[in-house]
Amino acid sequence: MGKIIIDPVNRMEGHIGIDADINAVNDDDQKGYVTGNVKLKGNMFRGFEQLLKKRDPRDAMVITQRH
Amino acid sequence: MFSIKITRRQFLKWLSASAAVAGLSQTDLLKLKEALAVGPAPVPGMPLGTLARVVWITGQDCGGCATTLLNFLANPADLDPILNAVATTPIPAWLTDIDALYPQGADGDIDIGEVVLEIVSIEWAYIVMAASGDVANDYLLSIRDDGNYVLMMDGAIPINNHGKYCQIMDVKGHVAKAGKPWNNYMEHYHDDDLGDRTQITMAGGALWLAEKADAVIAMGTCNSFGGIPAAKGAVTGAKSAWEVINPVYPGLTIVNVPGCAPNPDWFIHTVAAYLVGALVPNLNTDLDHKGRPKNVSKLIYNSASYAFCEDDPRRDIGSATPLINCQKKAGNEVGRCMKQVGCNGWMVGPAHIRPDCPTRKWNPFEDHSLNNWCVGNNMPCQGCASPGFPDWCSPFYAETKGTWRGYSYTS
Repeated sequence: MGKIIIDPVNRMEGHIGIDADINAVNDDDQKGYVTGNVKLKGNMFRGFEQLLKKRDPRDAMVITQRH
Repeated sequence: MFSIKITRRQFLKWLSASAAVAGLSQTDLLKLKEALAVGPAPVPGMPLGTLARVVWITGQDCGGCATTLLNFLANPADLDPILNAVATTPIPAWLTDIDALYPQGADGDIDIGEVVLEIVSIEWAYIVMAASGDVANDYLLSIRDDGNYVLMMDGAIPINNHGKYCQIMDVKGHVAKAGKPWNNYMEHYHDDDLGDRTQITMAGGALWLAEKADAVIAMGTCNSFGGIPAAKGAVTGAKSAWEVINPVYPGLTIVNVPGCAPNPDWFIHTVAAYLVGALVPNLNTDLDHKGRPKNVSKLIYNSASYAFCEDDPRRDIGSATPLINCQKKAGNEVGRCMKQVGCNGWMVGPAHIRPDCPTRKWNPFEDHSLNNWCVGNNMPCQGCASPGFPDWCSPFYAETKGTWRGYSYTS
């Protein structure tokens, strides 16, 4: 059993973190496989849907291009 | 990595040519020559000198700030935008000695990649660094222990719910200590396999790194003023660097490079100012309307004598039939002012920041005449470098209000 945390993940736009639980497998057929629970996290939230409420619909062109 | 080959002489010449725009004095340029002379050593064994170490953390961003900077650094189709800029900009007569001091080919060539890696050393930036996870974060911990770095940020800083709307890293150990200002924005936990760890949010990381930083560069409108994530209706409590850091570290220099996204030249000019020690705005005179220090350059941003519109900008303000030739460049024989459809170029108030887009322009091509900016492409200026962006000019395609939250944009 082991765990790996990778946060931040580099060279990509967006705040991504990885939590991986790794189970060591002794079976020869599966040696080297990562088994277990891997979670990919998106670490950033801005709420563009809330930002767009009660605005002129044309504003969406300007605001969502910054998404 | 693609790189743009320029010589040291060409880089100096480019900076010199736009020295007036950058707000650098002749003395500053001499210091810059010294800084560059000891920077990327062309001779083995030559001292490296002092590098401007940069730690770049990212909050609620869209990637535009990173893209604009990397576009400047690595455009394989455009071999020498800097040379083009030099070729089209008159060089003051007193700068001719640079040719004698740094004859082309005699001093060792540097490319813009070396400028970033060796003159400015970006030590930690998740979008460009090669390592990820704990390898990078351990290095960041050691950088912070050493101090002497510039903290560069883009993206807004959310503070609601203990800053958890933006988590930027997960590091080993317990970072927060009793009584520190960032305690509220970090979460400690214990993992059976990995031991003690800390989840660091953008607000926590900004305060944590700012404690030992020499200066803070706020890249982009989000980090300078709040920008899109702080617009009306936002729930994350997005704040600017000034709002988060200044109350805690009031003496720390925070330089705003607003723009959504900012022109890469503006950032490079700011870095040049840092190299020569000019990155210390006079807090008594260089404040914007909310007490935030402006960029080192008053001419890049908000010059009183600057004409934003391509023709005489102010003669037709308020008149029914403005005759500004904004759209003339796009092929129309007779241009029409776009004020009534939301252009903000005519705004002249101190709260409105007008960058030098009309003259500097964007996206340098081999043919300099192809450079363009929003208005030249029939797009009303959105006022994206202004503190009130985006709310003060929303709706974008209607005439902008003359005032915003009590500040006048017309006087």
